[in-house]
Amino acid sequence: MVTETPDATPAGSTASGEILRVSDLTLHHLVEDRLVIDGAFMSVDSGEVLGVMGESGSGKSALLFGIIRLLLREVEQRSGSIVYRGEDLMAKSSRQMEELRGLELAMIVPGGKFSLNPVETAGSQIVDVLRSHFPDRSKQDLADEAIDILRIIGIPDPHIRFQAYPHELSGGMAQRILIAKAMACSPQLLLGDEFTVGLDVTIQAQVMDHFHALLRERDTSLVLTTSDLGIAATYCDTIAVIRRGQIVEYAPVLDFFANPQHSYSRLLLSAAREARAQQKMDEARVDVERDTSQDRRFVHENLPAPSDLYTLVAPGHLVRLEDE
Amino acid sequence: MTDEPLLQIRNLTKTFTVGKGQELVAVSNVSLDLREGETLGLVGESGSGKTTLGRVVLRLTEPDTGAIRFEGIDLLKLDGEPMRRMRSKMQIVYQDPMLGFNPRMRVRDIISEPLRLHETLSRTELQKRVMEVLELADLDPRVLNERPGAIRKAEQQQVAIARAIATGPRFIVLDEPTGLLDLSVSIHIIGILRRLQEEQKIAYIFISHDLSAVRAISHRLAIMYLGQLVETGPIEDVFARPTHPYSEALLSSVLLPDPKTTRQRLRLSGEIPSPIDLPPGCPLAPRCPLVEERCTSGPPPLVAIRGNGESGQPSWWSTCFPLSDNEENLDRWYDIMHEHESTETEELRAAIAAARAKNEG
Repeated sequence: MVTETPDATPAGSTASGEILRVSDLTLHHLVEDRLVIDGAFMSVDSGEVLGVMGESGSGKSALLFGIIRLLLREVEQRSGSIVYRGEDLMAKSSRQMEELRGLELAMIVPGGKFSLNPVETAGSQIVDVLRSHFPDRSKQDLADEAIDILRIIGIPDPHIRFQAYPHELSGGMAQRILIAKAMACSPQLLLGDEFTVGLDVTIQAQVMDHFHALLRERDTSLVLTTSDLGIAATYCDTIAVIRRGQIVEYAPVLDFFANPQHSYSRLLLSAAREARAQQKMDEARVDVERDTSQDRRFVHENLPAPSDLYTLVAPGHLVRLEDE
Repeated sequence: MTDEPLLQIRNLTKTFTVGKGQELVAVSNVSLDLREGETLGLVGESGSGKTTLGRVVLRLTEPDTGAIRFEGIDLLKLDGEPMRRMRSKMQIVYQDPMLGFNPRMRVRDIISEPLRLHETLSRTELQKRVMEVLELADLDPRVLNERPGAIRKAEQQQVAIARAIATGPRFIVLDEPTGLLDLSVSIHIIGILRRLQEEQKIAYIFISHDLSAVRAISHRLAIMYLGQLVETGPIEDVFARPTHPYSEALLSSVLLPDPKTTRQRLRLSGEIPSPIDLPPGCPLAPRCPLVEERCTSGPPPLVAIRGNGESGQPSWWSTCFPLSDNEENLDRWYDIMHEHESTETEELRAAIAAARAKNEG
């Protein structure tokens, strides 16, 4: 199954459907003198949702910022390659990266209204994104498109929200605006950094269900960081567990929940199992067996080869060997 | 243990005046009992009034009307010195402990400050008490000489707990104490709080929107929506069979940590409306899939699901018009609620397809 070693993979030879491949990414924080990301890898197909799980400080956000090449000045890339649709992002100039961001790959940030410009309306912030990539289109044309984007994201009364300032929006609505900004130019790859944190559960379910259906519909890929096992289980196709900058387990979601291998993954899941056992007793809960036969299976051929660091326990399921 | 609850809240209301004389009802006619050594989990969406209720109960915010009896004493009748003395028995722990610390004080002084305010202890006695609460809060003595900014987030929260229990309180309001913590750390904090409660018989009001944390620590659950309690009952009963449509919507929105199962959800339309100048009737009416005409006419009736508590309050109750027709037959009521549940994938697809068609056309 797994044949290629990361550095032997020439740019351009993507597997069918593969949209992003990260190999042996190592990021070094110069001031703190530590590895923020240590040999990370991933392979994402179009339409796939990869969930990066880990605690705060594990490096999950740094990984996303590394992929979209928006690193702090004091963080340097020591090694690794990032290949997006056959193109090596490392070889891009900052100008070229700027053109790609928003158009091809875009980031959904958390923080709701605090991540929006407080003195610009929601609509004009989306128009800004569109205008930066389509400078020749008319103002009215861009505004119409922005309203359509709001509607597609599932925002009620898009004409009214278009003119609203961030302080007039609820947290859930503001977060949907941030999703709309990221999706404005229909990028092929979205990077979502814990973007539902802080939303109430009912709103989180509303936002995520709609967003997820939209991703499926458009065959858009998403790499999302989360510390919520519910989100991982419900919306992700593949799980990567990251700890102290290292990916300790990488597996298809069903495999991961059924058969976690690394002791850290097991620790994460034990709390979830307990919660699950409790919920079994909830009579009013109607839990339905999900029809997983319809799910797309993503089996990756471009993951690192088993080595002295990783063992392959099942197709597409890599586990980092433990020190102890 | 006495028969009377440790804390008895009756018809508590707090209204804020905002803007041009508009009324924001943050807490509306809330009644609750809390017994010694008991935890009441208080849940609801942001803006539902949980934090205001917690503050009003401690008189950190003055209520407009209602009564608060603590250890049989009418708190709202106390003022000045008697109220100040009462404060040593009731404490609060906030979500972000750093906001409540003087960042220039050392942990030792932060923990001993309430003792110096409320008690006259010798230096050695003070030192002894600090070490005691340090141990109760499972803190390493090395933190004593640190400033709060230099220790880990979890340790900061443990310092806040140590400070809260220093004066030997009977009751603590925990306002999202695990809200900023990672899962494993949050489990550790919950463990400390539970052990403290067993040993010291402290009563908690645990405010959170993390439903699994609430379930892990609470004996009873109170669900709040737009300033009102919509359902209150024993924790496992309410989790297993919530009776208010809002409770069902809230509890069924929790995502399962299991990729093979999906949950049917009672879906509410829209979002929690502004709490300013609320129309009469059930606060959920504009969002509720089971809404009927009478729901908008006046306040919904209180339906006792299970018996009367010793102090005249049912131990499990809910406020809902349609539920009141079915209180004799709860099974039927669940069927009615479940008719409105869906996994909604089809509907969502259709909505998105419609939006696209409009976009393209």
